[in-house]
Amino acid sequence: MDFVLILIGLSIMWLFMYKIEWLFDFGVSFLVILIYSIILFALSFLLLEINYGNPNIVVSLRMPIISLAIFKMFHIIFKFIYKRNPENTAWVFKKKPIQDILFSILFWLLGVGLPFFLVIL
Amino acid sequence: MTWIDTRSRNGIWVDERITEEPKLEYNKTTGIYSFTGDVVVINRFIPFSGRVEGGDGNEQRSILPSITSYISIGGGIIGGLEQSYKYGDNTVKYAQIVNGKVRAASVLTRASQMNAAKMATGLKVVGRSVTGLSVATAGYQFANSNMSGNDYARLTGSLVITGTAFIPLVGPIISIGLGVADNYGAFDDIYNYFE
Repeated sequence: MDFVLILIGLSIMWLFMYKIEWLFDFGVSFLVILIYSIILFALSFLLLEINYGNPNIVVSLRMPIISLAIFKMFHIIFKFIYKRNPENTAWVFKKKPIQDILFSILFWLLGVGLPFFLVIL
Repeated sequence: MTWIDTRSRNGIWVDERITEEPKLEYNKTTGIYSFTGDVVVINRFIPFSGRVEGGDGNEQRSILPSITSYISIGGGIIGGLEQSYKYGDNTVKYAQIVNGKVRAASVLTRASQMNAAKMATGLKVVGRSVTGLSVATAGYQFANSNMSGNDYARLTGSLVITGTAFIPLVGPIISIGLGVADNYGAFDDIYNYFE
């Protein structure tokens, strides 16, 4: 169950990998993801309150809201500069613009990796 | 011994530099062996001349491989144009000339390109899943650790290794290579430094 919580905590990462377009606009999909992230954030406090499982694992449910905020920040900056949406360059076997590669790597390190450390703190 | 280093120009490999191996020489006066020419001499290739200009800008020597290179490159370009005309944009001809010899030349037909595209798509889905699961596993191990500096370094290392998969073309191979090396403890000394 602990591993499942980690996988749920990485929800935004999974969307980034397979359905990145859901994260782009401020429409229905984004609203659903935002509410989902807020629910998980609140759920982490509830689970800690009832002493459910390993506290270090339970706090991973707070990661989606942080990842989403970082993604939107990067996305807004990217769109402001390049007037288009970025692409995920993971496991791509053809040439891609360097700005997309940098966006992907930066999000990976700061949007996926950093929340691990932030929620533990 | 002389090596001919090749560089890619617009997808076609040409001889561009020549480097000379350092030679061991015996000095009769001092009785000491010493390396001469230990600084690598880089010679500039003069296009379409079949000659190179030495590092001092004066010396010129003929290099026979360049002539065969021209023949191979010319053949490759003609063949590529022919195939492009035949199959349109979906066919690519690669001619690689290394040391004056054609190392690899292949024509991708429409069918093989479609198969390659299907395989790449499948590989992308599987690869992304593996990357995601790798970081999830690293996070799980981190959450169950005693949160020492070593554990922070391991999680960061895992993120960097999986992050290389975002480099197009070669990234996934680098990521797999580093991941295997990490599993065999190749970076343990680095992680332990943060203990």
